[in-house]
Amino acid sequence: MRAEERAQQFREVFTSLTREIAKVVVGHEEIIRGVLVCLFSGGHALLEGVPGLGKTLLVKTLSESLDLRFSRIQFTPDLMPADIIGTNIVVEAPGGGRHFTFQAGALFGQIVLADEVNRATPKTQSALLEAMQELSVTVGGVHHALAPPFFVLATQNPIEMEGTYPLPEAQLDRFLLKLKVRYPSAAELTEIVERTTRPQTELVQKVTDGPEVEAMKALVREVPVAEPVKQYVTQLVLATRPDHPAAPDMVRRFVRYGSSPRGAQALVLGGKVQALLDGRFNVSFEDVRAVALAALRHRLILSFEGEAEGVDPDQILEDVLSRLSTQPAKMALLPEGL
Amino acid sequence: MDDRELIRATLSSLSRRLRLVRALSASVRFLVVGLALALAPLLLKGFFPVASPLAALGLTGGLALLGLFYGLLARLPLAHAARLADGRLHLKERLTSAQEHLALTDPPDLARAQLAETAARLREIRPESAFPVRLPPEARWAPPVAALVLALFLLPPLPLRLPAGAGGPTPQATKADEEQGREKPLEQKLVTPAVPDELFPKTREREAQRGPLSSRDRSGDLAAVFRDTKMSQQRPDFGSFIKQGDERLKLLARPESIPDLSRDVTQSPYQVMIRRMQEQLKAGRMQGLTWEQIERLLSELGQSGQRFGAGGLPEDLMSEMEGQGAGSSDKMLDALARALNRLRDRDEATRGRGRNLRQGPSRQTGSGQDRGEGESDQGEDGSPGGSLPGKGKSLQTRGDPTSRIGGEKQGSTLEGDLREGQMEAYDTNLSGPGAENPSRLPYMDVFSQYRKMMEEALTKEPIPFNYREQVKEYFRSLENR
Repeated sequence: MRAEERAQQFREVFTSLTREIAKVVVGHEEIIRGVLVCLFSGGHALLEGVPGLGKTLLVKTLSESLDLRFSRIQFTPDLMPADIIGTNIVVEAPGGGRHFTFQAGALFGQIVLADEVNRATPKTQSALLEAMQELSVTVGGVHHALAPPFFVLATQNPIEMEGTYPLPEAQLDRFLLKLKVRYPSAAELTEIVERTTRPQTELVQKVTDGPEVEAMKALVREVPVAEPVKQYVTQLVLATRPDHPAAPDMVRRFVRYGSSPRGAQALVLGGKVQALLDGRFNVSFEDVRAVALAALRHRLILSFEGEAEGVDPDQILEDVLSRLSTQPAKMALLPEGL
Repeated sequence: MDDRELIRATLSSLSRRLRLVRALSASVRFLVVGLALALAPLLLKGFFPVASPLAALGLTGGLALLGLFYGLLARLPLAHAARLADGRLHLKERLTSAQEHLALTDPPDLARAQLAETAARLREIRPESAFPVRLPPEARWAPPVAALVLALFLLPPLPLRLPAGAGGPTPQATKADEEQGREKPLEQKLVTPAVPDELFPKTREREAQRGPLSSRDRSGDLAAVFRDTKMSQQRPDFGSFIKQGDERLKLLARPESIPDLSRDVTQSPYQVMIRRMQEQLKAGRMQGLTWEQIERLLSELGQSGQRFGAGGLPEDLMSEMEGQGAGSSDKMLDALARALNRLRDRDEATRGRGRNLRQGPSRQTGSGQDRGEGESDQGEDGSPGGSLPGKGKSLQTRGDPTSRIGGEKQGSTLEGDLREGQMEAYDTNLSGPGAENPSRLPYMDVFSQYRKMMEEALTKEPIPFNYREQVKEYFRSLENR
């Protein structure tokens, strides 16, 4: 299949998924788009928002529109790693004798909903690390691969709420994007009420399956990135580090640790999906900027002053983006505007 | 044209256009700078009349050309042009990516698709609109600066002065000139008359041996006229000048009686010339004169700026001279001398009339009642008495009113004192309204001051060497009077 046809198919699938999810989820177009960007980028998404905003419903609807194995894990403080990874259990053979058999946990799905992930203890949260990064788990010295596509969608309440365990930085860094679910508007709220209180519910059609998702992920990775765009991504990530010369004052003041290289990967991958959705085969600065907040906001570790001031990482990132020029270095004696 | 060629051609076109825009911008900016810098040499046009305009032109044109060539020839990476065009045409880095893909010999599928998509997009737009030709903001300064440069170029040089010692009149000397009301320095008033070569053969021989004169020597070198005469042998006698200065300064008290400086100085060559011609004739070194020669001589003298103008002598003097000079060359020269003297007297009479408009009738004889007559040529200030004391014995001090004011009701008359000999001062007691407040002007004190100033000026040699002889001749002419 030609590249143009594959790109066209990509856009159609993406549009169909968006349409199917929108049958159930009112509003949240940006969240839906971000979730799908994560899906086709091969990353994982962290959805943050107060309870009742439709996070779980969104993920559940997505799983229904994809012909993928879906599993849901409700994270609680007493949830243990073995509960999600799986464990070896003793099984009696029909002919007598006993042996250990691996009983896969809920993580062995293709779309995993880690609901309220910050309610589990850090130990359990860390059980997700290997799966999210290496698409495999190791139990009892035995390495178990996860079936692709493997897509973790975690939801969490704002970390300052009671009875939560903030995700460790290493865990946060595994998420490609962190999407903030905001309150619906008045019109959306009315629509939500109307849809959820009537007898019949919308049926979601399956749009695509695992192999097609994998093909699309491959297509995304083929999208070329021009050198200036790569340089822009690099400069953007470096500017979030307080010890970097290009860091603005806001970063120096409120950020303790900046983005890791995973942030740059997230920017480029997200930019590639944005480019394909825009009908292009190249990543633009605009594509990178479109995913910059979601890709970097959870990678900034605020300093004490930042925490005390209640600074939103988005403010810092917007400041960085506003200072970073997409124009080439000014060439001498060119007229204004060039 | 396939996609790759189209993109390559577009990039080349954009690069060329960007160079052009840059060249225009740079040349205009450099032009403005050049115009501003050109003001400096044009301000000094008075000192460097030829070099200044050339320097201004060179600065302006040179810098404009420099900017033009810099804009055209300076390095301009293709990727830079592609990036700028992406930004200007909202191509979302299509050209930048395509420019990278053009370098690939076997681009992957998506790179090939990217080239095709970019080419399709380029066909829909006008890439050259990415870089519109527009003047830089600095161009708004070009018209006023250019107007200023043009004005400085066309207008006469500004009256700037070189520092002292750099040549030309010193500021102090100029200021002194202005204070004394002089229009021009003496040497600027003097004009070297054209003297026929045959009159001064020795001088011409010396000049030929000496070689061409410098411009300084040549300009106003009136002394050259006297170089072959007795006057050239005389050294400046300042002691005599100072001794006789009082009498001369007395003459200065009556400006109407002072011969015109330039006239006297330029008159002298006539006399010398005529005397030399007479000597030449007597010695037989010159053949007989003709009226054509004399007319040509007068014409040349007139063209050199002498008093009677380029047209020669007035008609009546000319005819009178021809009538008196018929017969021999000597008579012709005598007639010429008389005609020139007549011309001089006529000019002097004209100047006297001009002064009398302000100062009363000239040559009014001051005659006190029963006191005898004052010196006739010194009673010219309209006073009833002469400016010098009369010789009569009458005690009546009031003189007759002049014809100008006689009988009129203007009651201001100047009283003359009955004294003998030289006066140290003049009483200017007025009758009439001012009689209650008599005054006495210490003229001699003032003259002494002037004399000291003149002596000091001569001692410090502010007069060029070549003009000393003329100054000396001038005062000698005063002495003869």
